[in-house]
Formats: sequence, C-alpha cells, structure tokens
Amino acid sequence: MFDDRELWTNIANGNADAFDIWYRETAPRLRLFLRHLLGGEQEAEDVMQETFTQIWRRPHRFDPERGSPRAYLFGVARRQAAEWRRKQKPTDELRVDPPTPSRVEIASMVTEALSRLTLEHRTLLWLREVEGQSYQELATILDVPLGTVRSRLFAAREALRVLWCSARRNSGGRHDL
Amino acid sequence: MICDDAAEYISALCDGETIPATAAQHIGTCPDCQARLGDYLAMGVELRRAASFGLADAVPPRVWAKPQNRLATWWQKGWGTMRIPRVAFAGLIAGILVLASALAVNRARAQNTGTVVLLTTAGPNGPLADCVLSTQDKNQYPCVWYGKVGSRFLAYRVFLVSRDGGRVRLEISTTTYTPGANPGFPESQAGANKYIWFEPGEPLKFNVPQVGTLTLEGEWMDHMPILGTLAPIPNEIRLGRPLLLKDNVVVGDLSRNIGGIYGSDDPGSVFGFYISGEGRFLLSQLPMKGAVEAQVVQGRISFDEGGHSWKLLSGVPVCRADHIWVLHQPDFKPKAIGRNDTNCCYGAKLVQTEPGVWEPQEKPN
Repeated sequence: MFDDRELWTNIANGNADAFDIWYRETAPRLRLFLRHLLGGEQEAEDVMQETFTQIWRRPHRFDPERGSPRAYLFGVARRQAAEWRRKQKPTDELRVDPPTPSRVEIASMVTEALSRLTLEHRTLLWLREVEGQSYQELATILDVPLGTVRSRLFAAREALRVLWCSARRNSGGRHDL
Repeated sequence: MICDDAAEYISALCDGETIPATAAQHIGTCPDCQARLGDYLAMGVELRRAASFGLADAVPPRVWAKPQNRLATWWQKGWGTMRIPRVAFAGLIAGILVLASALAVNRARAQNTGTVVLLTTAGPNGPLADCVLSTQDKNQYPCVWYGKVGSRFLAYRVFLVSRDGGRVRLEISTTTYTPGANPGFPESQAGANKYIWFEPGEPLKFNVPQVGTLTLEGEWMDHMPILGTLAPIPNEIRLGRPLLLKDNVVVGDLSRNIGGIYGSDDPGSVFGFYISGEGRFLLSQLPMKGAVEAQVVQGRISFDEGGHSWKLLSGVPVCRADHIWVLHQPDFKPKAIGRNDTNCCYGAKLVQTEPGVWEPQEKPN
C-alpha cells in the first residue's frame, strides 16, 4: 500500500502499476461524482477516463503543497466536466438518464433534488457530504477563497433543503430515511 | 440572534466547525433552527447512503501506457488527420526549405555586397576614429586622424588600395608628431607604410611603436553613412570635403584631405589648410592679426581679401557663429606636402599679443 507521497513519487516517475492502484481506488468514487454532475452514465465514464488520462500524461502538474492527490483528482475532473458541459450546450440544466434497474434503488428524493441544483451547488455538496473534502481542499478544487467555501456550502444546503422539503410535502410527508 | 443569522452557522456545525456562543445558544433553544439542523444532517446522510449504492459498480480495467514523446504524438496525429495529399505536403516542406536556404544565402552574401567600408579604429585606451572608405569612388580619399594617444600625439592615415571579394587591401601610415608641427606622413611610394589585407567583420590588430596596439574593425555598407552630428557643437569650427573658390573659380579641392569632418572646438586654437599657388588659410573664432572677418552661412564661408572674393564651401555646417576670422598667408611654403598640391590640416595655439588681437603661437611650418 502506498501513502500519498510515495504514490506520487512513483506516478511522477511513470510507474504504471502505482497509477493503476490509485485508479482502481479512486475511480469508482470519481465516476459517481461525475454521474451526479453530468447526469449521464456514458458522459461520466468518458470524462472520468479523460481525467485519469490527463493526470497520467502530466503527473508533474500536481503540487503536493496545495492539497492531497484525491483533491487534485476531483479538481481536474470538475474542470473536465465543466469543459464537457461547455461543449455540449450553454445551460446549467442537467440531463438525467432514466434510472437503470440497478439505480432505481438510489433514485431517492434527495438525489432527485440534488440533480435540480446548479452545477456549483451539486459539486460543492457532493464533495463535502460524500467525499468529505475539507474547506481547504474545497477551496483548492473550486479555486475560490477559503472564506467563500462556508457561505457557498450554506447556500447549497439551503437550496437543497427547499427542494427536498417541497418534494416531501408533495409526496404526503413521507421521509426518505 | 434571529434564525436567518444562525442559519449559516447551522451549516458550519454540520461540517464539524465551531461557531460563536450566541449562535450556539440560539440554535440550542430554537425549534426551527433545530429542525433545519436535522434536515441538513439528514440530507448528508441520505446523500452518502445513495452514494454507497453507486460505489459497488466496478470500473473498467485500463492499461497505462508510457506517455509518448509529445512531438511524436503531435506528428502522428497531424499525419493521420492530414487532408491534403501527402505529395503536396512534401512539396510544401521542400518549398519552405528552398526559400529558407535562399534567404540564408542572401543573408550571408549581404555581409560583403556593400561598396563602402565603415572603419572603426581603437587605440589602447579606447575609440579613436570612425571613417568610411569607398571601393568605387575614383577620387578616393583616406581616413586621417590626429590626436593624443596616451602620452604621444599620433597621426594616422588609411588608404583603401584595392578590393578582393569580401576583403580590402589597406595602406596604413602612422607617425608621432609634436603639437603645432605638420605630421608629414611618409609617401606611399617610399615603402614606409604598412599594406595589410583587412576583412570587415574580423578585428585586426597592429602595433604602433611608442603608442601601442591599434585595433581596426570594419563593416560593409551599401551607402556612405553620415558620421557625427550635422549640427556643430559650441565653439566648434569644422569642415567637410571643402572646396575653395576664388572669384567664383575653384582653386582648391580638399576632399582628398578632409574626406569626413575635420575641426576643433577649442576657441583658443587655430586650424587651416594649404593650397598650392594660393598659400595657407587659417581659421579661428578669435580676431587674428592680419585676418579678415568672414561671413558664415551654414556650410559657406565668404570673405574678401587681396582684391578677390573668396568662398569656402563645406559639406557640413561650419560653426554656430555667423562669422569667423580668416588669415590668408599667400607666401606660405610648407616643408612637407602630401600626395597632392594641397595640405591639411594645420593646428596651433593662439596667444594674445595685444588687447583683442591674437596670433598663432608658432608657425606650424
């Protein structure tokens, strides 16, 4: 098992095995993140592969002083997703694939509400709540000042809460939990 | 504190942050804020629960090939997506190479296609003189320089004798002299001068006894450059390729003697030239004994003397003043004459012999 520093030393030296270990550890979470960002399975898969390819080709762009490799990975993925969306259409509307049988289970009210948030709010909430990124890492990933992270997180939570509560009322008060 | 103010702190509490005591107190007693806190926590739990399902999907295995050389990748990509025939592309590259090589050849040739050599001479202590030598001008004039180098006074003259491709053959005369005396260069035919092949662009050093090493540097040019500034400096009297007219008839051409610009900015000195049959002419800004006042307009000096009208025409403005003093010595006979029947340039200090009247300190002859 590699620690972060040893891992990046190996990756920076072109060690494909080290990179493959890191890929298998982090790719599932990244793909899930991208799925919620982009809405489609295939788009998430494509952007994820492009993200890993870019890092594999240019590992020296990562600066260990600025955060963890995982934060760097999600930062690159976020930019790749934004670029992909820019090429698709100039809108923040999320196209959500119909849930496949394996995904019906997770199509809860809160994830449904999440898909209706802005791209920035979706990104922020997912990275904080699911990935557990710290304020400092979020500031690096989103390229915003540290003080902005807290206020934006609050705005994102409040937006999600409004949608979620509305959905609960419409469904007769049933709680997802 | 009201609920709206506490709301952002509720969000911070969910992230494990500490909050101000007043906010903490309000949240602890306010049912609405506690409901909001519960909603935020529940949303986080629900998001993580939903994510847990998605993490079960395996990612496709990949092979991480060694990154290729970027240039090779770029070339392969370009070659594969090329939309013009390969032959046309090859022709384009060949054309560019031909044009580039032609340009390189022209640049190389441009170094020796000029007809004028700009010659720079430096002494042991720094630059001495710049001058130009033409390979085409039949009335070739030399580069001549007089001045102090270290503790010695050096007279230095360079003729361009011939040209062979990118190099020129120079005749160089050097001699030391005493201030106020005519340096008197050795005649070319005497064999006392140096003949050297000089290639502009390649510095050339040669030794002058009692003076030190002189360094020649040169550059080919396709035109005659103007050396120095067009406007005279304060107290300066100078001449450039002068022509002397007597009653509107040319009696002296000093273009071979003063090819560039010759002069002095010392108001206490005099300088002049000799023309066979006409004598010597000394120029000064101070009234000399026996001299006449001459009017100066740009490059023209006009004066009447000995019943004749004289004009000295210079290629550059002579001085800032509108008049100078000219002392004509028709009976003057020089001891050393140059190649022609003219001689230049004499110089001497002026001494005041009576109020408002100056005379050359010693005869430069």
